Amino acid sequence: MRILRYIFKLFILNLKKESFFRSSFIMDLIGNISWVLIYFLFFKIIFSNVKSIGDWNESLIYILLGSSGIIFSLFSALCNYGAGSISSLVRNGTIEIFLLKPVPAPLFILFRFASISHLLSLIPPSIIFIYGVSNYGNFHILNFILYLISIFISFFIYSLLHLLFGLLAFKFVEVTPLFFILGDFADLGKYPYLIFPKALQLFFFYIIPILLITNFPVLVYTGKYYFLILQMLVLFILILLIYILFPIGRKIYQGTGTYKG
Amino acid sequence: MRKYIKTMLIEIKLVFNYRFSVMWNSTMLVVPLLGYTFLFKKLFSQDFSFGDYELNTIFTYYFWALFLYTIVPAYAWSDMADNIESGSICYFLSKPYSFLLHYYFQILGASILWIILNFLPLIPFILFFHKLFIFPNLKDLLIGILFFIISYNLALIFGFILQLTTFYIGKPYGYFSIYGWIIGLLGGEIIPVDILPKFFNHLPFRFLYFIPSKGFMGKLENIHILILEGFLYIIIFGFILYLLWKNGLKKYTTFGG
Repeated sequence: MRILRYIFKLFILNLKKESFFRSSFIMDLIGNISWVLIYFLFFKIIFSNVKSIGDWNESLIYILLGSSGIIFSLFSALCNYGAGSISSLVRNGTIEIFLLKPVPAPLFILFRFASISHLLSLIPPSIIFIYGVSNYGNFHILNFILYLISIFISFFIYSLLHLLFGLLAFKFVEVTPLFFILGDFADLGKYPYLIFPKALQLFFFYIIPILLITNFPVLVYTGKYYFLILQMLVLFILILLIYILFPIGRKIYQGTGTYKG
Repeated sequence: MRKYIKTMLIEIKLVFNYRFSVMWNSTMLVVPLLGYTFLFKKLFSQDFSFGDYELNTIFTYYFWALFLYTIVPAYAWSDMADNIESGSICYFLSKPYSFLLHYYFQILGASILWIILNFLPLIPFILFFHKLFIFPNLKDLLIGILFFIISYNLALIFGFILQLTTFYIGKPYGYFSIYGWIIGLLGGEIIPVDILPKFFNHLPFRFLYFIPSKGFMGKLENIHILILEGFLYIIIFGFILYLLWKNGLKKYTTFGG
């Protein structure tokens, strides 16, 4: 509870900072939300020429597009740059500041640039999701509740994946390109898994789980609940890995904590 | 001119130091291309039509459009906005040295290496998908290169205009995403422009990725008119850039960085 209160306080402080640069912030926000609208247009054009992609009809694709937009917008609002900043913290020798706080350092680092106002960027993907759901029909409250749980698990998997990559900075210092690569892979999340060959499906389900992150919530929504269990398993493995690797990384790290940037 | 060439050569050396980082960035090109390839492979295996495109033409189109997207400097460099905002632009203004030409040649130097380093990781990709890729003949290659030169200069002028707005509204970083999506959509990086409604086929943005890609594919008609149109856009936007620069300097106040 103390950790949650702390993170909420962090959100409020960041919100105050952002309000100083309102016009730039609003344009940035519009820019962040426009990608999902542009891909909505892209799929609209595709579906004016075809009825379905494999056995995924148009509505399911919009549910997928909306879901991936929601997950990545949540990440972008709450965790963006957090894990990516480990490189500079290690390089500058300032990570001690985070290790001294009475909250778990990995969470502190992950959420340190959180921005409540960027949660507004959830609106367009949510509208696309609702559009998809209303066309799909067959609404079940249980499916929807499990879908929401699945979305949150996906968000945590994506965030912890960044954190896991960030831990490599303890050993290699400069790992920023890895986050760009992960961001590029996230681009594949808007596609249904079935377009990829089996080997790539497995790779993007369990090695770099971009398709698991975006596709599984949709599959849960359609009533395939066992995908939720797989998601929980992947989340558990990631938490375990970070629990084991963070102390190891901290031991490798050397610094005097006296750097003044 | 020799001093600007020197600037370009220094930049080539600098970028070469970061050659592996630049090559890593090629995922920006390979990953979306992979997505488009498998999506359209699946679609064309069904009852699907997409304008005049077939699987190999759409693959080749996205190959060129995404390649151009990664190498055409449509944002110019954010150093320009930083220099204007911090006042460091005075270091340029107090010397017989053009601020805009400095960045033109610096970016040109970097671009030469970007082109080479981004193309290298594509070679195994082309070899793997060689059945889908339409290799250009010499004539199409030359036409493609000609339109690439137009695209490159037009993109750089757009980028300079974006950066020079710092004189008027402060750093334009907040506008970058919107600008990026506009040129991505209307330039032909996301969807070929000829698939969009007719109106979009007359905008200058299509010269950024769509027209050069079509040039490499040998699918352009009325090439002479397109060349004229391209140069006309360069002149028009070049003039807008000139006005922004002149008026920006007039109203600019700083202590000198």
